[in-house]
Amino acid sequence: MKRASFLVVALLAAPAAAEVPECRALTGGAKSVADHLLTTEHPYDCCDGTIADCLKRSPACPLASRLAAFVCRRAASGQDRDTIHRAIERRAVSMMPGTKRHAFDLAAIPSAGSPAAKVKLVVFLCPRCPVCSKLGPDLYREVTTGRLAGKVTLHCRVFPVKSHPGSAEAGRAIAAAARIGKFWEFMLHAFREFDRYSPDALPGWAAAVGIERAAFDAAVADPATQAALVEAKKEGIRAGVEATPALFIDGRRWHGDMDVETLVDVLEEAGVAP
Amino acid sequence: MRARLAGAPPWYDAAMGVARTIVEAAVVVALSAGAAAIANAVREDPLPWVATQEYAVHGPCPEPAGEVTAIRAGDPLIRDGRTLVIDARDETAFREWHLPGARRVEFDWVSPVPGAALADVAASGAAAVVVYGDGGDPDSGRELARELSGRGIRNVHHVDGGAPALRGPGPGGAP
Repeated sequence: MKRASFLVVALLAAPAAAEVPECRALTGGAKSVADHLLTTEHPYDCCDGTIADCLKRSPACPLASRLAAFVCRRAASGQDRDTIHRAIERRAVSMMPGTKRHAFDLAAIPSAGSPAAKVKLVVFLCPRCPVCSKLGPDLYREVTTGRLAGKVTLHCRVFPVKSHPGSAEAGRAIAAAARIGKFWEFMLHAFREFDRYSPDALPGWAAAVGIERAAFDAAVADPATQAALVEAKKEGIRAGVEATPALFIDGRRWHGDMDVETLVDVLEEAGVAP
Repeated sequence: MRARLAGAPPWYDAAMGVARTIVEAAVVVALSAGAAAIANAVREDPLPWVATQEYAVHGPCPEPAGEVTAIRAGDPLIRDGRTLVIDARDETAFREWHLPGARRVEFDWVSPVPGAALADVAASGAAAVVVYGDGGDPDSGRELARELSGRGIRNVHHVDGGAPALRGPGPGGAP
């Protein structure tokens, strides 16, 4: 009986899902997980049916194709039904029209990527957070030379997390580099050297990105640098940030997974949204 | 009770007991593993025997912030003799005005509360801790209260509106 119901689900989902490259390659258990979800989950915008139904419509709902790829990518990586279902829910909570938007003073936040890009991504990163050390450079690469180039402007706020030793000192060094105009150079270098961090290493990192020692020391000692760092952190707290990395897509808090594939997908979705 | 083998040394029984236990444990482990393998095989989406993807950490790094309760400036808990009242503001603001009996633990937005200050609060023996700050947005009192709670201090509250609310209308107080 169970086998028969799988067969029905597969027959319903298969023709439409075959149009999605990520779904075409699935086999066995991963395929049955994906097929079940495609025939039971609904897009949160643009179409009222299940994802499989919406894929069959002409013209197809673009969100249905994205969600189908989202589901199939996860199924292929071995995630189970419940995990993928929760990921879809978190994505919906973050991306649904009408979700609360936070207003950031973007002009005051260091940015990367095209300033004219339609989508504004604000990220709060701790310089001593291991996840940030991976995600920050990945996002920078995507918005400058990758799939999000020209589509997304990345705005980065330093948010030193107190449970990380050295986050205050590293945060202040990044704020100093920002005042000298070397925010991204220093930030990316700090993440590259993440495992070799010590407070004594900071002047060397500054030198490595072309900041003169005297200028760096003066900027670090300047109370205005600390004030800028505190203001960045207060801005995060006002927006409800309690952990890093924290992302806001066009002001809306992102609650979903933090892997770069998912983020590229949802940022592209935000870029084509009306 | 099984009879000991004729001529066996005195430790023979103990050794046999240990060996029997090991064999029984091995049988239990083998049966459990077999049952788990069968259960996995009949799953719709069986778990792979060998991980096919690199292990990756996607969890966020949280601030050490715990649960706190907001109380009003007129709450009797503030005047209770068993309550430790903490002023989270800087020294200048504290000198200008503070609640009588309040202890100053200046809140730092980026660095954690020093261990010694935390130990003092923990050693105070107070039944409750009430923190007030600058009443700003965000309020330093609320943030300090959350940090104290997150680092193990129990029954922590913060005064909604901070020092301006406590001072009441007038210069330096609430409008």
